[in-house]
Amino acid sequence: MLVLIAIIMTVIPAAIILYPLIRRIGSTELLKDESSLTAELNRRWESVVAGLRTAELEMSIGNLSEEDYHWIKNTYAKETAQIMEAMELQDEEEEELMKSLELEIKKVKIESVDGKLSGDKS
Amino acid sequence: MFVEIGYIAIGVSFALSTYISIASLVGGIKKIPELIVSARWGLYSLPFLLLVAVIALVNAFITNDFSVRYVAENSNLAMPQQYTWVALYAGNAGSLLFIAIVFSLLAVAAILSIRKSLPHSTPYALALMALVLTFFLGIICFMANPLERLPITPADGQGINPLLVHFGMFIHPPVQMTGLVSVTIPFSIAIGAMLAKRGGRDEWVDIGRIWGMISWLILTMGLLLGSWWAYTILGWGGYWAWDPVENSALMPWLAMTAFIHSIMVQKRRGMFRMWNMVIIIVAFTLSLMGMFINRGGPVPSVHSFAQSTMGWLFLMFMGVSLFGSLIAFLLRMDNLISRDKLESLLSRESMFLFQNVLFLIAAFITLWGSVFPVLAKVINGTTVTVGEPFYNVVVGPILLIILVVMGIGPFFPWRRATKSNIYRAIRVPLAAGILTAIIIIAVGIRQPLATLAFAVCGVAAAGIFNEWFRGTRTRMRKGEPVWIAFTNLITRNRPRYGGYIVHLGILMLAIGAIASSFYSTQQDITMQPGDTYEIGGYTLSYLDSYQRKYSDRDEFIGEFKVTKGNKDLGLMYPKQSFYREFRINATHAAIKSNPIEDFYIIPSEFSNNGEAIFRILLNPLVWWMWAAGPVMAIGTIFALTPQKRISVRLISKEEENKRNL
Repeated sequence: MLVLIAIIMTVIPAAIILYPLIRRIGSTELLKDESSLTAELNRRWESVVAGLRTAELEMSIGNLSEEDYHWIKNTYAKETAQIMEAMELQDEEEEELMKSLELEIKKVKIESVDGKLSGDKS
Repeated sequence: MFVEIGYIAIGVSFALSTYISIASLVGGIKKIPELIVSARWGLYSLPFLLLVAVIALVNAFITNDFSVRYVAENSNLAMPQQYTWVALYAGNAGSLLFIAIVFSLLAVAAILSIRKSLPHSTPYALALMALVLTFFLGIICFMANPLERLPITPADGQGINPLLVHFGMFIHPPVQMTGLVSVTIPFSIAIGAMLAKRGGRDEWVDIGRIWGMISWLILTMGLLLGSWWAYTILGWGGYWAWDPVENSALMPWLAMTAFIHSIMVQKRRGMFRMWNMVIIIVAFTLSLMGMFINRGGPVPSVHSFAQSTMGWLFLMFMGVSLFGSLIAFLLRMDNLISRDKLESLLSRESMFLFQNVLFLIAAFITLWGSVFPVLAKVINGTTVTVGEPFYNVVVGPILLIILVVMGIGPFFPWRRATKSNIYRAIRVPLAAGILTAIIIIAVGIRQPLATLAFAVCGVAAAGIFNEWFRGTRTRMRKGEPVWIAFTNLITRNRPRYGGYIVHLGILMLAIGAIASSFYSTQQDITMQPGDTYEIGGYTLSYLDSYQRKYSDRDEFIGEFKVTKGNKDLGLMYPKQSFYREFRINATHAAIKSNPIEDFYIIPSEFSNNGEAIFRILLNPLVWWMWAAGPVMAIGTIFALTPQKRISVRLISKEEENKRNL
């Protein structure tokens, strides 16, 4: 009985760790990258928004003078502009990449259809 | 047979965690997704295996299976059944098993929380967590297996350590152990990101901060519960003795407090990237140091119940992990250059840095004080005791400066501030501090240090309330009713206002500690039944004393009637229990506690004719220290609750045209 339980207790974890290896599970595991520019820009955007919110709160409760508030707001506004510009550039790059990919796919499809047709003819 | 099943479960867990650490690391380096998933699934199955081992041990306790060495050493037939849970972690081997299962659960939760947001860092973080788990399970497997059988089964066990038979023991040790081991989670996330060549873009910061705060909260609760246990059971009238094991829990707490503040700077400004890595490495090392001291470290301590000879293994592991972390840090330093620079010394960032340095100095002085006796013994052969006076003189002032920084730091805005601004923000709190000092002097308290300390607390408290008041008033001007305005104020910026609630808790703790350190009254009196004694407005009448015999102990109980003025406070029963097997006297103080002061009776000695010596203490404001725990917990949880995010999505030109139409 004890031997049977020992076998079960060993086999179950072994099956759990072997299953992804045998069935090749995890193809989407590393697709997203936390270090990507998009992720970085989103983080920076959030920190700028948080900074602006805090500056507004500090100004409204009197921790920040008008002068300091405007300086901070301008600094954040510049950062926001930079972030948005970078996002736009990235979006354009992504769009271009997608377009060229679509073109490539179309090409491949046409080639394969042509190949099939010529094969049929022969 | 149950015991054998548990035994097998421990062995399989060790093998599995070894596999997880290797598979995860290889999967991360070679970018093999299947291997990463396999390691992760392996981790998910670990808690179940360890649960089997825990159930086997609990069952052995419940069935009084004294053939199991750990059960024989930590329980007996006289042990109340409800203390089975305490007995589980009362000794070294059981506590290691407890740490292993708790840590495996924390690791599962941590991996689930990071696997989608940090896909490239997760394999490394998982490998580190599994490595720590492998270390614990290796010790359990090969050196301290709680399910090991004895060659001869004794008729009865030795029993649980009497000092552990207390309600506080149900929660203090598990919370403290969980706190120490939980530091591994933010450490693994941070170092994992660094090893994955991430971290330079603050990828891990959001989730690292959350886990840092969770760990900090558990450590805080562990420390407070330990102090409460010492206060009520150890019977010396105090709650903190700068005992090495207390220090060992305090040191990582100090480092983690520094970390959860400085991580905010990285989150907001992309600064302190290297600094945060260094702090989390320090915190992790100090938490291992804590476990080392607790588990047979060379420093004598009141916590001897958990001692063993394997402390040196922890020291070795600590050394290896410190060395490894520093090497990884040096190799990845180029990736951790800050995005921004300090713009002004008058800024929130500078205050965080200053406060961080103070916390680390306090931690290292505490470390030095804890290990100095050992070094003195090894180097000079002299016996040196580093006790309360040293810490009061050296660490006390640093903690006071930290309180000052805590009080005025939040008034410094991010990036930069002008002097006039700072003056305007802190004038009300400063005035409140001066007023506090005047009131304290007026009521007859003349100790300069205590007056200063209370004044500092006044500054910090007034600062918090003043900001709440001004923030609410601003919202009220927009037409919001007072409660709606206040609720909106604090819920729209939860990390900030949650932090303020935690600061209030810290102030409550500080007020209790300052008052009881400076103004505690103590009197040793010898009384006969029928005697009456007056102290601090209290009248206590010693009615009688009893002796009760139990199978494992003799109890001596004094009965007191206590009144204050005309108010009857009822009966109090201080008692002393002598545990025959352990030859230990456990003192149970009788305490009447209220927010003003604690009336505390400790029995010192009972004689046969009923005459007894008692120590009477009047400890002011101690109640606030215990009330601070829930306040800090509420504040931390509030700060951690998710807030609505404003995300950005750029629209395409066609979309823009459509909208314009």
